[in-house]
Order: sequence, then C-alpha cells, then structure tokens
Amino acid sequence: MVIVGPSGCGKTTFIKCLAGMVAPSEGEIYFDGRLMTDLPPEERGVGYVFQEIALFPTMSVWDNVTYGPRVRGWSSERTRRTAREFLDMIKLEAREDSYPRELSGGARQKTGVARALASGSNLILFDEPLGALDAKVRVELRYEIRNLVRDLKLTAIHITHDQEEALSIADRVVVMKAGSFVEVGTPDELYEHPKTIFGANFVGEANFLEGTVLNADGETSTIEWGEGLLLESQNASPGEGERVVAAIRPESVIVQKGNDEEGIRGFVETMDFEGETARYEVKIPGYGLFAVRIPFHRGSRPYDVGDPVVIKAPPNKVLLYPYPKEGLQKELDIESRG
Amino acid sequence: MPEVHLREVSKRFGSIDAIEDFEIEIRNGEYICVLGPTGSGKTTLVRLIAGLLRPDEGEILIDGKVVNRVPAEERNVAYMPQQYALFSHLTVLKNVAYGPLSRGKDNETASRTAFDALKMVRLNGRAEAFPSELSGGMQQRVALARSLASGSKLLLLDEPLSALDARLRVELRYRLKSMAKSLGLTVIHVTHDQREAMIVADRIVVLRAGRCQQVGTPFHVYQRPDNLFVANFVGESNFLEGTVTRNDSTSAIVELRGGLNVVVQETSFLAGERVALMIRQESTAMTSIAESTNALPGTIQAIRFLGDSLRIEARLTNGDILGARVPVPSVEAYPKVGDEIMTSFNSADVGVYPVPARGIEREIEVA
Repeated sequence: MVIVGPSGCGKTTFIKCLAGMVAPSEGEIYFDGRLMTDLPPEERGVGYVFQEIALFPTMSVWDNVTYGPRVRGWSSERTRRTAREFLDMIKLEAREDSYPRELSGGARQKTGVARALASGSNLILFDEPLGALDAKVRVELRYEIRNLVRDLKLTAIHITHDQEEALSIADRVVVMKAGSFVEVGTPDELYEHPKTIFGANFVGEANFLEGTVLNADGETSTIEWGEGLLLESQNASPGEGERVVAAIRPESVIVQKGNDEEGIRGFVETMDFEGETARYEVKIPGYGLFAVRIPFHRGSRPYDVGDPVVIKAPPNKVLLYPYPKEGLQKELDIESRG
Repeated sequence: MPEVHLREVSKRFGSIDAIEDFEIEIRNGEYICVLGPTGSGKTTLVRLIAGLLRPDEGEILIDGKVVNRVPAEERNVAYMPQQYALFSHLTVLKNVAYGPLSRGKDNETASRTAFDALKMVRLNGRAEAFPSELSGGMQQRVALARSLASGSKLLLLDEPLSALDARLRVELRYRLKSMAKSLGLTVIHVTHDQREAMIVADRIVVLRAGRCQQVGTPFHVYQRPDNLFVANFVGESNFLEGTVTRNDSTSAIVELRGGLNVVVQETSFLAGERVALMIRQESTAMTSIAESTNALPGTIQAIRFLGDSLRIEARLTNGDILGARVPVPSVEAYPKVGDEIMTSFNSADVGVYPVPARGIEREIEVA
C-alpha cells in the first residue's frame, strides 16, 4: 500500500505510529489482530527503511545484511542462507565484502532494504525510501523493491510524495492531506476516477473548469462554462442548476488544427518538448490556459505557438465535482502545511 | 551581459579527474542545464565557475575576461549550492532582499524585487516568517528566490528544486524558466533529472564521470543521442545487440541472437560489425499483429500503470527484453502478463551504435 501526499500531510507521523516510534493520541493499531499500542518498536516485528539509509559504515554489506538475524540469535546456517538469498535477489552478491562508502547510492539503498527484509519481519514500512536517489535510479529501484516484497509475500506500507512512483507499484494508493486520508483506491481507480478535486490534482495533472450544470438526464450532463461554452460528461454529476467543477486530464483530449470543428477553440500559447510527449498550453477566450499533452513522434512538429486549435474532450473523460464550499483554489492547494 | 566560456578546463582531486577537458560557450541570456548522474562532476563544474575552486588546466571566461584568478566575491555571480544557508535571524523577505540591499538599492526597491522573487516561488504569503518556521522544501525556495533577487545576471543553481515534492517541482520548473527569461538572466542549472532538463533548458550538457558526452537543445539530444549513455540517460530506451548481416546502402539488416532480424535505416556500419541498437520505448508498439517493418514476437512479462500510459515489458523468443510505453487501453483491450504479443517498431526509429568495449550494460549503468 502506498501513501502519497504533500510534505507536511502527516504520512511520516502515520508511519511512525505504526512503527511504535510515536504514540497515537487516540485510537488503536492492530497487526494480525494483536493490539500494538503498548509495544515498543523492537517488539512489533516491523522492518523500517528510511530515506537516508544508515548502513553501519564499519561493516561490510554482508555484515550489514546479517546484522538482524545475528542479533536475533539465528543459527549461523540460517543466517548465511538468508543473507545469500537476499544478496542474490538484489544482485549484490559480488559486492558482499564492500563497505558502504564504496557503493553507489542505489546499491546502498538496496542493501538497506535487504537488511530490513532479512530481519524476518512480515511488515515493512518504507519512509520515502527512494528520496535521496537520482531520478533514473529511483525509477529502476522502485520496481526492484516491489518485486522483492511480492516475491517474499510481505506486507508493505510505502510513503512517498511522488505520485508516479505510487501509481506504478501500489496495489492500493492512499491520498493524504493535512492529516486525513482523502481517498483510497487502486492506481487505476485513482487516476481515472478520482473521487475528490484534491485527488484529481495531486495524482496526475488536470485542467479544472468552473461552470454550471445545464441539464443532467442521468446518462449525460451538459455543463456551461467560460463564455457560453458547453461541455458534455458521462460521469456522475451534481444536479441541474448546481455549480460544478469539471476536471479534464491533458492527455485525455483530442486536439485538431484549425477552428472550424466542434469543440473548445483556442490558440497555442506555449509549447514544451518533454521527450516522448509534447505539452501545449492553449489559450481559451473567457477561461485562460488549457493544458494538453500529445505523443511526440520523431520528426513531427504538429503545432506552433499561435496556431488555432480545437480541443475535444471525450465525455467519459470529463470528471465532475460539486463546487467546493471554500472555493476552488483552496481545494487545489497542494501544500497542506508550513 | 554574462557570457561564459570554458576552454579545456580540467580539475583533479588527487588521482580523480573530477572534470576533464571541458569546453563550452554559453551565450548571454541562455538557460543551460548540466545533466548527469550523482558523481559526474556537475557540482565541481559550477564551483569552478563560481570561483570556489581553481581549475588545474584551462581557462574560464566571463564576458570575455579570464577569471581564473578572480576570487568568488568579485565575479558577480549568484551561486545557489545544494547546501544553502539562510540567515536564521532574518525574515524570509529580509533574506531575499539582502542581495539588492547590499548592492546599494534603497529599501523600497529591494523589498519590491524580493517580493517579486517570492511570488515566483509561491512564498509571498510567508514573507514575514522566519526560516525555522518553514519546511525544508520551502527553505530551498527562499534560497532560490534569494538568488533570483540578487541582482546578478549570472545564476549558478545546483539542484535548486531537489528538496521539493514531485508535484511542486514540476510546477516551479516552468516558473523558474520564465522568470529567468523575463529578467534576462544567464543560468547554469545542475540536475540529475532529465525531465527537468528537457523542460527548462535552451541547451543541455550531458556529463558523465567528468567528461562532456553531448551538448545540444533538448530536442536534439533526445532525437539524436551521440552515444549509448546519453540514449539511456535521456528518455527511456530499449537496447539490443547484434551483427550487421547485410547493408545495401538504403537499409541494413542486423541479426540478433537466436536468429531474429531487425531492419534499420542506418547504413554506416559494415556487414560483420557488431552493433548496439537503440529504440525508444514510445516508438515501440505492442500489438496482436505485426504493424511495422520490424515485428518481433514475444510474451508479456510485466505491465506497469503510470497514470497517463502503460509500460509493458515483453520477453522475445530469443530472451531479449523490450519495453513499450503505450497509451492506456480500454478495458476490453487491456493486456495481461503471459499474453503473446508482437513488438513492432519502424526501421527509421532504430538508432545504431558501435558496441562499447565493456558491453552495453556497463556502458549505460547509472547506479
């Protein structure tokens, strides 16, 4: 399970409660039906992986990984077998005699994960385990960790601020904001049908349009927004006459050059080349900038700044939310606390 | 008008070549990203330009003047290190206004400049707070605002967004670039994040183990990587190894292990040569039937949901692995692990490179 949320939302505090490093002010924590409240961390049977992996600098990789088993008094045979298995799984058998300072950041992190896993816990808590690593290494390592946890049939609670990381490895994702669980769902559910505006904004990117429901016949709703523009949605909708916020992801729309088609008309204002995709901001009169993202094929350069374009949003990709009581900006704020 | 030239600059620490033979001409007002893995020499490079280190060889010129012997405080450069320090006894606003004030600007101008910089980093609402009241990410943004407000036209930023949440990082990179452009600043921005470099840079310098691998616009570096390291570090690529078996000057055939054949349009390699093939993951399709010049059958071994796309990994009949980045399919067309699949790509989308001496894996290794 991956918990994702902005800095300060409480994810680390939550993990610390589970680990026993912090006592909850209210409520109980159960592992497999056993009450944990009065148990100190070392008796909870939990493995903890921090962002700044603190390997024992004077011990080799092998000694670091076998530390837990040795401290728990395992037989040397069992210790050796376990360590060998883990080092093999993280592909560091050739480095078992190396010291932490001789390893790359990624290798150190993997060793830290192996150390936590080799201690025999069935529950592993990951606290931003990839935060200190280079972008590319983060991507590679997240799958390795995921596979390791799955192959060992462990339960893992992993916290991160990186929503792409969350989507790519979680069975379920929890979105947290200002101390509360705002949404829970599979990556797919959370991305395609977020239940809240915050969820839609924090996980992935979205354009948010304010409007009013003109008519809602149960299957399709029509929304009026901007300067008399109309939008159709096939998703759950507030009732007729209600104020509404529509969320549309940049990659879900169809963009065509010209201005004689049906759809949202505007002019390309900015273009950002992202490698495999290009992101455009289209200025829509009476609204502002609408972001679209399209695959960028080798050699193609579909739109230039200033081009007139028409954006079509498939009705099943238009998500609707009741207009928030405290205003849209507050809901979109991805910084929960100082 | 800060222009920066580095001519054959080298810097050693004991037996380690931190920077080797580095050459670049940075134009006035240009936004340069120095991109590379941890330990590639990026920080050493900015410290050399800032004047905190002296090169062992070569020359550093700012506005046409050799500055090798000019101390840091006289170079008129705003340097934001990875370990920045804010004045703990001053408010956020006063921290940011410090630069302009010490250059002799009056209070009102300095405060106004500071406020604009704080707006850029979205901290204008915390102008009266003290650094200790802010999160790590917010402190980093104050340090960034301080560099922007400093009054210097040459900015050296070492991982300026690293402490920020992913979501905020994406938002700030656009603002950073537009602010730099509107102020007419020359910026050298160091990062390990290739997506960041693609978005902000006019040109990217790819660095590895102290040596420059390639310099070019994001478009150029992405479409035409000069070597396997760049091809792997920027973007997501597949790599296959094989031997050229035919070359008829309009196209060539490369035979992979297990007898699989790939048609390529790169014809500068001779029959018999061993080559490394590079295909971008977004140029690779996974379909039920062959759709392109090249179609290699395989079995799906992993599917990753990335939100706006899927990453599908297939194992070919010869054991090679290919990854494809595809739009999220509808529920009916959703693939499953174990499905038989055709991996397709056009011959024009295959980059061909000589096989490196220590093998492909070691050559592209980042960690």
